[in-house]
Amino acid sequence: MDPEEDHYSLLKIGRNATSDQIRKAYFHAARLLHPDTNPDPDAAEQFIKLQQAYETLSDANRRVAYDLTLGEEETFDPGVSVNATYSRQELPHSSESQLVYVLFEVLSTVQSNEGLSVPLNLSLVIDRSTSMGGERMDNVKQNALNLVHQMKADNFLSVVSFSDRAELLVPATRLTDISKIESNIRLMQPGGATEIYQGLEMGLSQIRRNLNPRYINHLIMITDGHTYGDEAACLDLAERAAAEGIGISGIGIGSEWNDGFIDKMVSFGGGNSLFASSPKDLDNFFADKLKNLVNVYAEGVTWDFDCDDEVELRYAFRVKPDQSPLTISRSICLGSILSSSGLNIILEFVVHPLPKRVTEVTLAHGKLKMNIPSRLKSSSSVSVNLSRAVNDQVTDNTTNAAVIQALSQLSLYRMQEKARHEASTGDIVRATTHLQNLATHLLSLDERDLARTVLMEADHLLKKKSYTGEGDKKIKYGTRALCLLPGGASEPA
Amino acid sequence: MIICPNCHNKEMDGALFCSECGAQLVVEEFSNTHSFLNGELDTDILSQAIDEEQLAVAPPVSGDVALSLFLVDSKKVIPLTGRTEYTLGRIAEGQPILPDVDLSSYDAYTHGVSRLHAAVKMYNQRVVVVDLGSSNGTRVNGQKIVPNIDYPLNNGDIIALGKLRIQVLLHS
Repeated sequence: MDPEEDHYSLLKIGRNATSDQIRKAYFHAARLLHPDTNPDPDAAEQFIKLQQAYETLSDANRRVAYDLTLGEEETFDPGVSVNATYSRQELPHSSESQLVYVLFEVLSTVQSNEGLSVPLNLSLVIDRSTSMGGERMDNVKQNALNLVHQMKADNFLSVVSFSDRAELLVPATRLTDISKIESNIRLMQPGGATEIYQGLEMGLSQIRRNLNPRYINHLIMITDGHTYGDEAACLDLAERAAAEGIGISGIGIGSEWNDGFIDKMVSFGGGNSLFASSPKDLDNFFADKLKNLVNVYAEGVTWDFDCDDEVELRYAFRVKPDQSPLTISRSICLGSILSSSGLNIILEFVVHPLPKRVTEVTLAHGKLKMNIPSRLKSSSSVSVNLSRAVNDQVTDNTTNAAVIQALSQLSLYRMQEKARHEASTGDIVRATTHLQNLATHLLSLDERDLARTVLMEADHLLKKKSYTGEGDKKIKYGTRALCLLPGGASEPA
Repeated sequence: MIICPNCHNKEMDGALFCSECGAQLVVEEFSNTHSFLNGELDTDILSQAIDEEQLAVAPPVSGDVALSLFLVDSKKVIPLTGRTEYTLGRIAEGQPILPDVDLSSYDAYTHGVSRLHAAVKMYNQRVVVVDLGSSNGTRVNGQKIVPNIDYPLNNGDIIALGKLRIQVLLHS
């Protein structure tokens, strides 16, 4: 039997689901697929399958008989384990909406020292517009050369430079003739405008030449400018690339680049964006990036899930291996799992008032799908259920210290987001207040430099009604970096 | 609904941090006990009702949190045991209501402590401080708190009555 078609995966539940979970999953799916609400003819077919699945699984005897026919899938080892830490042990019945935080961790179950170094298929896409001239260009070149030296000979690399059109500096090749690659990188000259689409398109096509689920397929985009008019096309490209298993990460230099756009572009494949405010930052990022890429155990970890009707996922943020907010949808790309450390996500759920008879609320149930390049059968999945008991009286009011720790840093990042949003809508007074509050907390964390930057920005904002050139990005990426959990993978170089 | 003790912003139940001012809204589980060895205990300043003898033998109320105040500048420890609520302030002439803990021997007047400045309460395994409408205000870890609203305390927090800094020590 096709594993995708068995009754359990149809209902998006695990083999060990309780009868209550089966019933819930069925009602939820049935509501979406019912012919009355869903005119799609495929849905009608799915709906019939769903009926059959529920008829079988809801009857204990038939379910046992059915389980026997499933065979070996039962012993399928997903290669990862999942942990969840909740901010609250149980929820009270309440007439108001309430919040639950979940610290969600996915770990490799394979020992890291099994020599599973996965080859890289990397493309470096470099903005060479006029503004990149001078020191910036020298710096980027130097880092690109360092990267070439650090990569292994059996890896694939291509280098693309772009302005308003793209040029192929190094076609996708194994790193055998390093001197030729070096001289080609040195030839890059600044000039022209910035059109990210051009570079992105060529970089991706170079990766596609050697596209293989056994490799880590990744594109690194370095830019210092706004791209005009081609944002939608870029996002389209990035989304398609993510579906093919190509990850993208972005590095921004200077004050002009559009961090919101780059964040969106990299989020499809679970990549992250970085802000290089100094040459040293750039050195560190390249070193970290390469270290993380060669350490990847599973990539493209995607979470498909459904929530109970009363539950809403409001915020999701990755704290490890790198820090990045995640775009909320019913299918979130969470990023990569490194062999040395897990993938950690903070989730914020809003639970609206529940019916009185409910004793358990499912925050999210679904599946994590991922690609594990080092395994014979590289695609893997594991089911994930997040739920909490609901009671009239809650006795245990304590909050897990690890969750508080993680949230305390994240609340600073979100305060910064809030201030930036308010500044952009013209609410300068509130934005300034938020920045000042943020600075107070940063000082208590002994982050003096960042606190000073924030205070200077608050001052500037009040006088000039806008952030200074790099200020908003410095604060954003500064507070984002604080969200790293203690004992993280990417310690400062 | 939770009302932030710091800025009166309304947050949903279950929120851990105020989204407006960033204040922590919940108390952590007390994970470890800190032993504190710094000079002998100075019990004179405790309100006259409790004498030294009683204090030495008074066991902490079982199941409750034992609390001491450490005066940062004068390096003195004031243990608070036996009751669940203490008012802090300084005794001045002709004052109708006396505080449970008199801080006047610690330069309370020059530090701007009001006669009835703040109260520390213990309940449900939690310790909170509430400002009683003092002239110069109360701060917790540098953040000014709003009068008459309970503010949760953790072990090691510094509260400042005016400019008089006091560290909170909890023994679970």
